[in-house]
Amino acid sequence: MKNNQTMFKSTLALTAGLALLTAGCASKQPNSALESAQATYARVNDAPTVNEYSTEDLNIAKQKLDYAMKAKKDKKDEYIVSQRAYVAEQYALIAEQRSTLLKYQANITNGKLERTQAQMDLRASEANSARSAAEVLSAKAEQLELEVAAREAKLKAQLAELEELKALQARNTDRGMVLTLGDVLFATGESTLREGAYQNVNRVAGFLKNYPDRSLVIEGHTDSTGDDNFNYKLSMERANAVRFALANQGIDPSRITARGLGETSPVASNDNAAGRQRNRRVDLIFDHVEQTQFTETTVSGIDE
Amino acid sequence: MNVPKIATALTAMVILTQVAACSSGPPPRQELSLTQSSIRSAEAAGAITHASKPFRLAQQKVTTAQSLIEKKKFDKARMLLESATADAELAEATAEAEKSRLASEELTESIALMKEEIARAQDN
Repeated sequence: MKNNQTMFKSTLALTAGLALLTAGCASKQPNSALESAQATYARVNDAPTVNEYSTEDLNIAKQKLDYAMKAKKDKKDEYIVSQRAYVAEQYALIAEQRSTLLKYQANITNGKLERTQAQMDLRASEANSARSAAEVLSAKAEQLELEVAAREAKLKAQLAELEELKALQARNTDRGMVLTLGDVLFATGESTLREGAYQNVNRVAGFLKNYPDRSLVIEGHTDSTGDDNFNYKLSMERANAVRFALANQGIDPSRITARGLGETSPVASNDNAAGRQRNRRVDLIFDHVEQTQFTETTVSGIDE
Repeated sequence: MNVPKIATALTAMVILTQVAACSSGPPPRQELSLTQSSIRSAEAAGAITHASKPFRLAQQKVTTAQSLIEKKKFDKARMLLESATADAELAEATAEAEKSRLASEELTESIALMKEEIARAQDN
């Protein structure tokens, strides 16, 4: 019986010891992992974006945290409390990352809309600059058309003038269009125009009236027969006679230059009668048609 | 005789409870494969680049858990696997968040460039 009592006592002691040991596993001391998890959960829960974007993840974190807190309350081993707390904290952080993800995804959605708008704006502005470039080009094309038309008009006018000069029996020479009045139009050795010469003079006057910008040089020539001074004087008088005749037809004499060159500029040999007859002449020299100034029809800004 | 018997029974109960607390159920096969698939998923999300710290932690814990399973320490292994799964999931979430942050910044930058271009075009 004594033995039994001793045994009972020792058994009781052992039981108490084991109970103490069990109690030792679960401490009343705060668990740092649990505190950290609680702080993290509180921080994440307070963040407005987390509440907005990942409520579900936050609920999981809350469940895990409750599970850890229950372990603490049930005085489970500190290691178990810490492990559960660690897991709970990771899930709080997962909730935070998910909300970050969703926030950026929302940014991306908005950004894509904004980018589409910007692309449209960019295309519109490109179209605008293309349009203004096209406008500039079309204005330039229009100007060029005008230039071409002006040049065409000028060429036509020049051609018409040439035709008229050709109709006057003028020849195209290096000095310009030259109309030669033969000596048959003058009395021999005199400067008076014969009747037949007036037909030519009238036609030349008509031409000069059509082209008021034109000036005219009249040159009198003789053959080599006779006195040089006489020849010079005769050629001068014959040139002047044509000038006066034109003036009488209403042509401003200032447009006409008359000079006598005597026998100095033969066009044929003076050794035979035919040559001498060709040398006795009055040349009417019109300016080069190409030199005609059509400034009033020229488009401004175009260099001639 | 009765009292010692009761005491013995009590002691046995306490010991059994203790042993049950520290001993293990079946090996955590499902938990292991769950953790491994979480790690694979995190890796696919780019966790190695964008969330290396929790990713490595998850890998290390799985290795440790596997050796614990070999030593039949199933409970401890189970807990470690739960922790590793949380690490892997955090790694994946972090990687996804980081990737979307980068994409968002890139988009913002491209929009800013386009707006600059528009402003330039309007100046011309």
